[in-house]
Amino acid sequence: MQRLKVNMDFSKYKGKYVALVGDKIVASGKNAEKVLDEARSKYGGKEVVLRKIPEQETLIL
Amino acid sequence: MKIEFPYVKEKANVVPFILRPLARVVIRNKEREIIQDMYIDSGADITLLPFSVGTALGFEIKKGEDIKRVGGVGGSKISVAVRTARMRIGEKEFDCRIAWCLSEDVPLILGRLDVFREFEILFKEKEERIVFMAIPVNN
Repeated sequence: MQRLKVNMDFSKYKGKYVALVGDKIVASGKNAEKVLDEARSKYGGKEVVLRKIPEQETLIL
Repeated sequence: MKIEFPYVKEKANVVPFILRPLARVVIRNKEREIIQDMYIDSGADITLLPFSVGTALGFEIKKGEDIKRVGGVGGSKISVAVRTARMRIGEKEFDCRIAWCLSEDVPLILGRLDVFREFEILFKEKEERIVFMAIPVNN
């Protein structure tokens, strides 16, 4: 499995899901299922990783 | 088995940046599998997934199902249904109960139930890394 990336800029994706293939954001949106479907249809066979980017005001308690 | 994950630096309101511990986790339900980066939350009783992540895993609400209302430290409540799925962290795979939230308004949270008993977890915040050490089965 690919290593988790730490130095990516997700500032445009606050409150959204992003799908990652390697270092690349390949899909984004408010619905995880649609984001994954889009990423897998574009990059079938490659490892797709889902991440949800918090809003700036979110505190994880 | 030992696996390490990084802290990620994220913008916040209360302070300019917050370091948050993230783990790469695989969750599988029947034939569906999602690799996801989840916030490790030692204060969370149970792993929590938003609604559309659950539907992507094939979770469904059964007719007449007892939906639970649960609250966090802030007092606000969310509706959840509990599901069991296979979870894999590193090479360690196990059954994990998950609170599937019926809205999107929650992060991807890796909570304690069924997870923290499988690992010794070191939060090395100063070094910006988290270490998961699998506990052998016969311990």
